[in-house]
Amino acid sequence: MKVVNIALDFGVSPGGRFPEDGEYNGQRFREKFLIPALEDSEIVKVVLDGVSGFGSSFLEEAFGGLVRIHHYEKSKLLERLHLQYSDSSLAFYADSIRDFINDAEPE
Amino acid sequence: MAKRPARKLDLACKRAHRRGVQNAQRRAKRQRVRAGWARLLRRSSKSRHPLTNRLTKSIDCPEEMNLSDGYTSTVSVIQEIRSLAKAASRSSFYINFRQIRKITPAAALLLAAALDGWNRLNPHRRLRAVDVPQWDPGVRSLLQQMGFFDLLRVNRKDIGCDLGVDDEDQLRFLQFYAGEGSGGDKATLLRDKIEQFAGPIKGRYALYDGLVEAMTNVTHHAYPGGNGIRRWWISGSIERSTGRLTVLCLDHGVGIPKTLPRTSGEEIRRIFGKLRLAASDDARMIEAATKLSRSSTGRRNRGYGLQRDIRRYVQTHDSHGRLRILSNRGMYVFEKDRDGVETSGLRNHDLSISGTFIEWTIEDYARELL
Repeated sequence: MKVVNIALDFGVSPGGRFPEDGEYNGQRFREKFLIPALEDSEIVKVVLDGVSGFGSSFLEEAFGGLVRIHHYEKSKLLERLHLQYSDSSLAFYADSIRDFINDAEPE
Repeated sequence: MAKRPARKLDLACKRAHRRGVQNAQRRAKRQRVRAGWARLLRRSSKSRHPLTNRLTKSIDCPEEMNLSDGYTSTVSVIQEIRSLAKAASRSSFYINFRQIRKITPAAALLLAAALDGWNRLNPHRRLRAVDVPQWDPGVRSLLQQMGFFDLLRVNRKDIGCDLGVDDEDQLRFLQFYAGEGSGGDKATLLRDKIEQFAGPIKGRYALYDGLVEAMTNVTHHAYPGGNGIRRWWISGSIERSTGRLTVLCLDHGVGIPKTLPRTSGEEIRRIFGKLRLAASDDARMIEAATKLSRSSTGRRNRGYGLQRDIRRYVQTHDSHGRLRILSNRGMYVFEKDRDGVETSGLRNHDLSISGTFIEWTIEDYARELL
């Protein structure tokens, strides 16, 4: 199992979709962290603790983008991604990630 | 409702245009009257410059600067400063801050952004504060807290009200931050600043999300055509006496009503508005933008920011919360009361704010400490 700790491995202040939005954007997180982890391991644990927040643009681009752009199969992807958090306030983000994956359509 | 055929739409547009031409004289007269009012509302006059004692063009700030009952007088001053900055005027002028007795954080951020805009457009002609000791001490202190004097050449000892972190001041403005992009680092800084004075706040993640989405929207939508500047300004305030927390985000872009794709009905309303046959529909366009799937990109996966994150910070609180979005002439207000009842309202102003301004207000934040 591969572990991606967003706050430790990527940044504590993620936000935005594209590189023009800043260094900690969703596209970069998807391409540099999520996809390599998914290629390496069947199960990927994504740790949400320690971040300031996300914003929908970041989450949709990072996780919805896996379906839209990289054509991952939704149900398989949801099984492979294990979203972990200890702060109950972060449950909203885990739900949002699932929603964005379910709502995304391959382009 | 059945869609109107394109031909009927064309005829409606042509009829509207014809009517507009027929009324040209009446319109011109109305515009002359409006221009007269605008001149009156513009607070510029000539007065003695405090340093040179020469008669100089003067922009007089009103006694109360706010975006509620003082909207017109406040926005006219801001517009005047921004026009001078754009025109890169070489002539001498003087902004009279001495009259200000009361200023809201919203008006202060508008002023700070106008001066920051001046500095960026006129890097070799930085404005100088010459009569700071004569400003109202309370106003001076609040502006200092916001970082206002960092924008001006000013003698530090003139400010004379360097308040520390532990001061028991009832109203505290927070340092403003400016930048481009999604601004996650700046949103974190501002939230940390709020928690430094207010303690841990409820909905701290929702606040970050709202700010980051507002700034991301600026990058994606506010400055189409792009002259390379996609700047935003954020700040806030904490009022201990009332327990009111305010968070602000501002840009100088083209405004939501100009970037949101219009339905055919909205397009007709826009034409009628342009011909002065109907009131501005800016407020309605802001409201439309807060609905899911209305994004300037027209893409299905876009447009979440205004609908989800920007409203959610108000919705996460148990106390009364208000989201106010001003864009060009329009204003959209969304409120949630203590019983969880959500309401919204629209209003159009005569003067455009020339950009977009988002304000989150939470009443009684102290009751909701984590």
